[in-house]
Amino acid sequence: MSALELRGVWKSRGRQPRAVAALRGVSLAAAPGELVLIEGPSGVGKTTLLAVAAGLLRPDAGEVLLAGRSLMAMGPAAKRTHRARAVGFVFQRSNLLEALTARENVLLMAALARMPRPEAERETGRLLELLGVAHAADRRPGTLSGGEEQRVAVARALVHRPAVVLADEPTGSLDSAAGQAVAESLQALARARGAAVLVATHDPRLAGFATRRLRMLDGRLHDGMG
Amino acid sequence: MKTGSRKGSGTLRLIGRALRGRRARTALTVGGVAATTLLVLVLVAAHRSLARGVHAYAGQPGIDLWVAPAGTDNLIRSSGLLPAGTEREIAALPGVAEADPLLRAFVTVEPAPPAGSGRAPARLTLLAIGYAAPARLGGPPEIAGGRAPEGADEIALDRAAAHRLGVAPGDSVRVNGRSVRVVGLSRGTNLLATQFLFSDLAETRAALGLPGRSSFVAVRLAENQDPGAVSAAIQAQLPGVGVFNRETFVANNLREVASGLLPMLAVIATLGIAVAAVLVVLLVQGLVEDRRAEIAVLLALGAGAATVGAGLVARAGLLVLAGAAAGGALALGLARLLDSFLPSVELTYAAGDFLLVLLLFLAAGVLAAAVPVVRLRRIDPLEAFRA
Repeated sequence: MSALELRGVWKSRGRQPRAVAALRGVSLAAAPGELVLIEGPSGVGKTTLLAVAAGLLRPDAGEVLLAGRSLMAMGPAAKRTHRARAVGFVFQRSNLLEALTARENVLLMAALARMPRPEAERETGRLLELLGVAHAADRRPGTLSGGEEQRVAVARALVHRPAVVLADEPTGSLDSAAGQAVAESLQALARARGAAVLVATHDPRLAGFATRRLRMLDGRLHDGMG
Repeated sequence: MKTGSRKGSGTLRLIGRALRGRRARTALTVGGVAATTLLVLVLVAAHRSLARGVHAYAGQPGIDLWVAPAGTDNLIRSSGLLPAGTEREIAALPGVAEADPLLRAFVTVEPAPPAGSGRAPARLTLLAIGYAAPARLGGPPEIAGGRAPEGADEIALDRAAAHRLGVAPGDSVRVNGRSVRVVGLSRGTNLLATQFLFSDLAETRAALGLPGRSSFVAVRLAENQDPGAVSAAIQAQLPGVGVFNRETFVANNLREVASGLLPMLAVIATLGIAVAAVLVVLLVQGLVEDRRAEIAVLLALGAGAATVGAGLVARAGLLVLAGAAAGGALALGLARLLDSFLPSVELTYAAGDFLLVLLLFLAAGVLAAAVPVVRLRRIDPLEAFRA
């Protein structure tokens, strides 16, 4: 079974009559452990695709199945709860909450996913250790390097064992060494946990980590690059 | 169920912490709430002091019934006099153990000026009570220093009045131009607008030119007597006089002292709470604006707007509690300070006042925090991708 499946998804952005079709009949399936790269220049609809996959945007047409459940049939509250449990996010900038420590940032995601506290504590400690940022667990994001922040963000995306990790330009603001480390960690940990990873990027350095590469152009996905 | 609730509170706590505001703004809000709490508590305490004064005198346990001239039902604002000999007629009735006349009047008091001093002395108008000194009914309810007056040319003063006049036991003062000696200070006799002065009845009658007259008769009942029955007997014997049991007389006096003051205190207290609420609105409004990016991230991660809002409200509630607690501590400190250095301002607190004011501020703060939380709906979780 696919962790994420989009079937013939259409989505327009903006208001009529200036609305633009950001997604034109996009279909995609990502299996557990797979890392799918969505490549393409800025503005072609990569972020819209991630937002639709997460249930943050409702498609105009088509079907989205997240962890085996159709988002189209869900109300906003159910969709939000399902997203908190089934999706992990890695944003271009870490988007960690500044007032919380690294550990608390990860714990907050676990809390939103309604993970039992002892398990959340255990998983958080383990992930921060595996990602090499255990030393920074009690530090605030502002005191961490960009690479460390993004590794904490990866821990946040994985702590609740989501079915899908959606990453939007996860290495976009990092230098090559830090970007390499984040990509490696994301790939290895997601695979180990059986999460499908969908990465929207125009960073060619990520190609080596993908199990499949798709190119997005004019709201359509084109296969055959991987 | 318990586990779920604990999880929920943990999430709220983390969200509340994640969205905490800048230190300076938070400190200003807590300080503002503390200041308004102090204001409201001081107003409540001032009212309570007033009530305490009324209870201490009009509600003193030794007096079971108050007999007043027709049309008079309180001690504060009355001008009528009872016919001479009223106390003897009452004392002769069955069930009455003691009936003592009291003569009340407003008098002007000023300290005797030191020789050679060019300064005009402080001058106060006090509520003088002439009673059969030193030990009959209607004297000072509590002596804070010195003793009760024992005869002519001696008075006891409320300690706040003494402080304002700058006199102590042993000093001389002029009462309506007559020189007398202060022999004692009373407590619980401060009605804010005025204070009590106690003097010997015969002396007071002579000074006021009202021989044999009295304003009230204080009655103590014999053991196991029914106040209602004795009251009826007094009214039958002396048609037209007013007879009040202790509770009614206290209530009448409270009504008189509070009627003008209470609405003003209520308005100022309400304004104080409103100011605290506005501070909370401004704080939470600022939080929603400053933390817009973080809120978008939380919404994207799966937090509901209601959960984020509850986190903000919980945070605001904590700040209000901290501010109100600080205000309470300041109020206690202020009362001690005033008691030592400025006893003319008497603040009386009750534990219930603190709890009530705390709950009022908490309710106002939570309601106020909920107003800007509505703006959360305008934040699009997709902003997290643009951050």
